[in-house]
Amino acid sequence: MTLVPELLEPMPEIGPDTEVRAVSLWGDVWKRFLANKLAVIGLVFVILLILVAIFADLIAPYSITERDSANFRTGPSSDHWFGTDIIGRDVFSRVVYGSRVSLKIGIVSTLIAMIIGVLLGALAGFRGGWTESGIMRITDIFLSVPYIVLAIAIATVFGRTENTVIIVLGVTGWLGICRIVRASFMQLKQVEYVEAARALGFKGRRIMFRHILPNALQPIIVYGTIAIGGAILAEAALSFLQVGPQDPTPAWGLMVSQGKGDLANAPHLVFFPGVAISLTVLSFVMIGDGLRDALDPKLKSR
Amino acid sequence: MTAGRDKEILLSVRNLEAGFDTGEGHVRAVDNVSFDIHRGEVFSIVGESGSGKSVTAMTILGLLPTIKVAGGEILWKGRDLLQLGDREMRHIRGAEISMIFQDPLTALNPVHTIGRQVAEMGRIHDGLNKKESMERAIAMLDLVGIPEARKRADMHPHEFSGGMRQRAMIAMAIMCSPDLLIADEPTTALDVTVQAQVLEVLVEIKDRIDSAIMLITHDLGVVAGLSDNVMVMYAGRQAELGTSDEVFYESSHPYTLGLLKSIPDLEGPFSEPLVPIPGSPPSLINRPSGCPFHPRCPMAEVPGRCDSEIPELHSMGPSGHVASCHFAEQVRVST
Repeated sequence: MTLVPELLEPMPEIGPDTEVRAVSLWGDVWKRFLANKLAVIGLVFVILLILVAIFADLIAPYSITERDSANFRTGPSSDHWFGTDIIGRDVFSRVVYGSRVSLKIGIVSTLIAMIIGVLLGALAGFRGGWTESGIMRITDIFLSVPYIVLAIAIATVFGRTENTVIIVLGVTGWLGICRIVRASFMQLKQVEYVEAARALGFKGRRIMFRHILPNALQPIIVYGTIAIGGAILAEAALSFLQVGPQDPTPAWGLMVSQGKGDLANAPHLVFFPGVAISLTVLSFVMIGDGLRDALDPKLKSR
Repeated sequence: MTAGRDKEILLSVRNLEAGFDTGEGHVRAVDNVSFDIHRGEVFSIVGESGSGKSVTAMTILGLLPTIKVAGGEILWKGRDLLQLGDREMRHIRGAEISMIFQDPLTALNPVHTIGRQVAEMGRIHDGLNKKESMERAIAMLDLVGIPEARKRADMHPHEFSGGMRQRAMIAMAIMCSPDLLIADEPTTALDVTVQAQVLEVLVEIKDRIDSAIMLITHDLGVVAGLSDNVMVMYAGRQAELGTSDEVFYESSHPYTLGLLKSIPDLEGPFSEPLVPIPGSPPSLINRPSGCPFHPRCPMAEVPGRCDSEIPELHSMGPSGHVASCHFAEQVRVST
């Protein structure tokens, strides 16, 4: 069926038996990611944390409410690795279970924020005009509301639960990603393959999500990873201010808050959950940085 | 070379006027342009950058929202495309009128495989399912001369050479057997050696699916060998329109003559220097009075008709050969 075989330019020989291996973008990205030690350390830590969260029941020696009536506020020992809190609960077990709270809130709230941010940002960047002005004014309004005030308001109305925190962080966290996605879409809607898609009769929605979005994915992934760390930190801050989940939920921020009065005689109450927060946030940020460098080789060609 | 003249008229552009609003005023990029494209023919539009050839194509497809159409009609199989809504236009784009872009490097989406991009056309226009559309896409890639199409369909654009990418672009454009293929400088971004191949594929495909081609180019060499009919544009207006033989051998507009003289001739004597057209194309905002070409025209009568009166299209023969020059008859004689 070939039309003009004699005119074909030379192309690398492909016989029927040769295996054509698509050079995958993600393979390259993965290779560059692995070359970044900090990012790999962050990834290993997050994977460990996820495993801890999944197998918390097997790892934690006690439950989150179980009290040791002989030990109140004692420091680390062989029975209680991270010590016990003021009412005799095992801090290690609570920190282990706390990983579930932090990861759940961090990941789910970031997902919500990403979905809102990507949808609105895509719409604003692609459509332009009034749609864009409207959406950007909404972001301005949200930017002017401090999320902690909003969190206190929502927590007062709907009660202090993990879900409240997720919703608060979700509806306040989409501003940054919205701006990033808008900028990418504004730029990408001008490129020729988008114009070609339009010339070949593709629908606007299809162009937005099938043709532009995959090309705008890299900053979204990087930002999203770092945002998970940010959300975990924000959750800790809200818990610390007593507008997050309530006792006995083993939220790390709440544990720090409850232990802060005993900083002088029982520093382990603040130290262990505090370290858990810091390491987790740091890991997500390091992964995000590593992804940024891996996805954009031009940025850092050493 | 008058193939198609007797066949069905697909596209009929009548007195089209279109332009842009800029900070410095309205730019009339297309000014009173009329032409017909018949099934089966290759219709070429030739002109320098800014002569309005690409804007004409974009207006036909209704692609650039910034283009303001001031008047005229674009009749596609009898329906005026300018009156159609967005939804109806979308069904015409790609399915009935398809477009091949200049630079296949940037006109293919880097994140999707070639096969998927070609197949997508079948899914959105002909309602094929994933498997059927991929089968047809592979057949199309095969048709445009991509060897081992089945395997190459799984590759991404960056794994293709420039010529192969342009073939893939063509495969995409013909996926739904359109009646008209608009090719906007399809070979400009390619190596000279590959240009001929791609054009050959284009013309063979046209015959196979019985469509027409509207070829936009500034390369007269490309035009001469392929076209049935040629329209020369200058400053948004038609300078000359006729069959390829008429335009090349009985040129009746000084601009066409100037273009022909500035092409190197392989067979002519070496000593004969190329004659460039002096000056540069006029600004479309501050048009010269009268004939837009008169400041650069060697035959212009200034002061006189040339700088005061915009020339009408002069009919040069019964076949539809027209030229917009006050002295068209004299120009033809001088060739």
